[in-house]
Amino acid sequence: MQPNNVNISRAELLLEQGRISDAVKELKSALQQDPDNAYVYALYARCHYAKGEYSEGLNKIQQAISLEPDEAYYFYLRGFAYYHLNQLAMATTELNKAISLYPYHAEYFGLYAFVLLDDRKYELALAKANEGLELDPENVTSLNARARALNKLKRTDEAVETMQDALSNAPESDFTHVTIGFNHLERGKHKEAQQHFREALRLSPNLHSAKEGLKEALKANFPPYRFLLQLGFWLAEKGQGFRIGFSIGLYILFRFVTSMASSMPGIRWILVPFIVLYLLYVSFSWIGSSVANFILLFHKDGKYILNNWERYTAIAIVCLLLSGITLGSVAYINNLDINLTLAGVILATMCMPVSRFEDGDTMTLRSVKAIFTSALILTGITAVALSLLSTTGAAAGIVTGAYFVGLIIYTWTSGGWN
Amino acid sequence: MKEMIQNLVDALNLSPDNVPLRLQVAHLMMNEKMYAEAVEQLSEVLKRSYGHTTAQQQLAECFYYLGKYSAAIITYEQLEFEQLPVQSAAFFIRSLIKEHSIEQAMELYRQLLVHHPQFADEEIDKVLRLGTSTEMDDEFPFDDSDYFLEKPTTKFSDVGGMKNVKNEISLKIIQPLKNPDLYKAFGKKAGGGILLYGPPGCGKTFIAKATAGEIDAKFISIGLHDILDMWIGNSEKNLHQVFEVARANKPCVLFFDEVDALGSSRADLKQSAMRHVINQFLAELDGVDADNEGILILAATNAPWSVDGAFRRPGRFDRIIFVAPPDEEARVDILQQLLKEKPVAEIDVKKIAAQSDGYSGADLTALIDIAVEDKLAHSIETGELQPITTKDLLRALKVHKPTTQEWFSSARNYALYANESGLYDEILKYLKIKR
Repeated sequence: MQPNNVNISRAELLLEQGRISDAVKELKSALQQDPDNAYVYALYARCHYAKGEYSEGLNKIQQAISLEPDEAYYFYLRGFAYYHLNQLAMATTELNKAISLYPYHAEYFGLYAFVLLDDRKYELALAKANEGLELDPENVTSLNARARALNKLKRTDEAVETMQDALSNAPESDFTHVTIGFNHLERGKHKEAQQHFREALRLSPNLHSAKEGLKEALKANFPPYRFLLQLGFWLAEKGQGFRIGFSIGLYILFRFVTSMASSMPGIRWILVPFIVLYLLYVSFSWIGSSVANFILLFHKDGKYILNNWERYTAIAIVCLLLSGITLGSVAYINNLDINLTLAGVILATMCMPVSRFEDGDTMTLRSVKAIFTSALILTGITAVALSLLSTTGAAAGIVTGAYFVGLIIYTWTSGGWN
Repeated sequence: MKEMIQNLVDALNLSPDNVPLRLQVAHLMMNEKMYAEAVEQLSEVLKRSYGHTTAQQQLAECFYYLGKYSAAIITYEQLEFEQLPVQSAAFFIRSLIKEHSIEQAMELYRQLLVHHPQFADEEIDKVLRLGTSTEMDDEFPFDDSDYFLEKPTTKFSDVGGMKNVKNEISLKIIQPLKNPDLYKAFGKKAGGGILLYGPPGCGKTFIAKATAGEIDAKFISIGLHDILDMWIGNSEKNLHQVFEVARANKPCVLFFDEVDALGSSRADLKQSAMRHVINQFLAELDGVDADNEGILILAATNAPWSVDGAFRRPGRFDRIIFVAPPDEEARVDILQQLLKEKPVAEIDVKKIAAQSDGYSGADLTALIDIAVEDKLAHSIETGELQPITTKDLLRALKVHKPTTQEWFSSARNYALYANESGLYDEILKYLKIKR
C-alpha cells in the first residue's frame, strides 16, 4: 500500500488537489514502470470515481484486487462503486469482505450504513453507523449515516443531536450540511434545508447533491409541491410494492366514487370535491415538478440552479397548459367546432409526456421510453394541427384516436419505467 | 596490516564456514583497497549464506571500485532499494550514472531524497541536478544561460485584446517603475503580486512574458508542479533559491504557473508537507529575510478557488485579474497572427471570429491546425498546394468545440455559490449573470 515511486506520490497529491487528469497521467507512467502495483490501480479507480465514472473505476479496482486479494481497502473501494451504481447487494458483499479483512476502519462501517439506508433498512443502518462511531467517534461518514437513520426512524431529537456533533467535529464538511439539509427537507422544514444546502454549496460549489437538494428545497416554497414532496418521501419509505398499491387503491376508490356519483345524484355535491381533488392530485403528480420549476424561473437563485432541460420543459408545459385550457374552454363555451375543444384537451394533456423530458440530462435519449414519449408528442402535435386546419375526415380522427390510446398506455406504463 | 589479513585468511582456510570472520576479512581488505581479494571472500560468504545483505552490499561496492559498474548494478538490484544504507544507495546511483542509465538514477535519487532530504553528493548532483550544484547556498550560480532565466522580447503590443488586463498590469507594475517619484508622492510602494486566473489557453503565460518584455526585465517562469517534483522533499530550499536568483537579477518578473498546485486550500491541506512549502512561499513573498524591491511576482491559475486564501492578503497577490477568453476583436487579431505565414486564399477572418465565441487562443490555434491538416492531405492527393479557405475554418469550427466551456461550468458554480468577497464578480459579468 505504501507509495514507492515519485509518480505515485505525485498522483496522490494531484488527486487530493482535484487535478484528476494530471493524476491519471502520473498513474499511467507509474504503471509503465510497475504494471503489477495494486495500489496504483486503486488510485486510478479513485480518479474515475472523482469523475463519476464508477463502472470504469470498477474495472480498475478489479485489477487491484486480483493483484492483492487480501487488502481490505480495495474491497471497500469496490463497494463504494457498487453503492454509487445503486447495486446495493453487491456493495453489501464487498463491504462485508472489507470488514472481515480489517474490522477497524470506521469509514467501512459508515459506507455500509449508507448502503443499508438506501435499502430502507434503517435499524440495521443505525447499528452499522454506531459500530463505525465506536471505532472513531468523529468519523464524518458514520455520523452522517447515523443522523440519516435516526431521522428515518423518527427519532428526531437524537438525529438533531447527532447532526450537531457532526457539525462541531467538522463545521466545514459539505457532506454534513447536505445530510442536515435533507433531514430538514424530510421533516418539511424547507427554509432550514435551504440554509444548509446553501452552506454546502458555498463550501463546494460543484457538489451535485447539494445543488439537487437546494433545488428541491426552493421548489418546496410552492405549497402544492411541498405536499407532493412530503408524499414522495412518505411513499419512498414504504417501498415499491406499497407505492403501486397506493396508486391502484386510489384509482379504485376514484372509480367507486364516480360510479356512486352517477348512480346517486342526491349526494353528488359531496362527492364532486373528492373527484376534483383526485384529478388535481393525478395531474399534479405528473406536472407538479415542472410547474414548480417554472415558478423557480422567477426566483433569484432558482433561475440559475435549473439545467436547460428543466428550464425548457417547464416553459413548454406551462405554455401547453395555458394554451390548451384557453383554446378548449373558449371553443367549448362559444360552442365552436368540437374538434377545437378536442385540440385544447390534447394540448393540455400533452403536458404529461412532455414532463418526462425534465430529466433530459440523465435520460438515455434512444431508450424505448424516450422514443415512445417523443412519438406520442408528435402524434399530439399532428392531431392538434389537423384540428386547427379543420381537416375533416378519417385522418384527423385516426390521429386523434391514436393519441388518446397512446396517452392511456403511457399513463399506465410510464410509472413502471421510472 | 597486510600481514594480519594474510593470517586471517590462513585461519579461514582452517574453518572455511566461519562467515563472520570472512566478512571481517573482506572489510579489512576493502579498507586496504584490495577489492579483487575482497570480492573473492564475499563470494565465498554468499555461497555459504545465500542472500546475505551486508555481503551483497560490500560486494557491489567492490565491483564499483573495480570499475565493474554493471556487476555492481546487478548486485544492488537484488537488494531492496529502500533498505539500503544511504552510502550504498549513493554507490548504486553512481554506478547507474557511469552506465548512463540516467533516468533510473534520477528516479532512485528522488526516492532517496524523499527519505533523506538533506542528502547531497557532489558527483551525483553534478549530473542529476540541472544547472545547480551544492554550493548554491553561498552564491548565485545562475546566470543568463541558465535554463529558466530568459529575457523576453514580447511586448504588450504583441498581445491581442486583453485591454483590461494590460491596464491593470500597467498600473500596478509598469507605471511604478517608469514614474517612481509619482508613486512615492502618493505613498504607494511598487511591487506586490498579481494573480491571473481564467480558463486554460487564454494567454495568461503570454501576458506575463509580455509584462517582462514591456519593462525590459528578466523573466523566470516556474511551473511549480515541475519544481515540486524535481525536489520532492526538498522544495522549500528550492523555492528560496528561485527567489534568490530573481533578487540577484533585478528587475525581474517571477512567474508562477498553476500556482494552485502549491497553495491548495482547505480540505486539501491534509498534506502537512505541503504546508511547509506554502509557508515558505508566503515568507518569500513577504520578503521576510530579503528585499523584494524590483521583483514583480505574477502567478496564474485555472483554479483560483483552490488557491490558499493567505496568498490573497495585501502585499501578496493583492490584485486578482480575470483573463477571459478573447473577445471578437481580439479573436480577429489572433486569427490574423496565426494565419500570417500560412498559404491562405481570401479568408473572412471577421466571420470566423464572430462564430467562435468562447474559443480560447489555444482553441483558435487548434482550429487552424485542423484546417491545415485537412489541406495538407488534400494537397498531397492533388499534387498542388491548396490554400486554406473560410470554408475550411468553418468546418474546423464544427469539429473543435471551445475547451473553455468545461471551465466555465465549474467556475459558474463558484461564482454563484462561493462569491462572498466578490472575488468572482468578473466571471458573473462575463457570463452575464446579474445577482
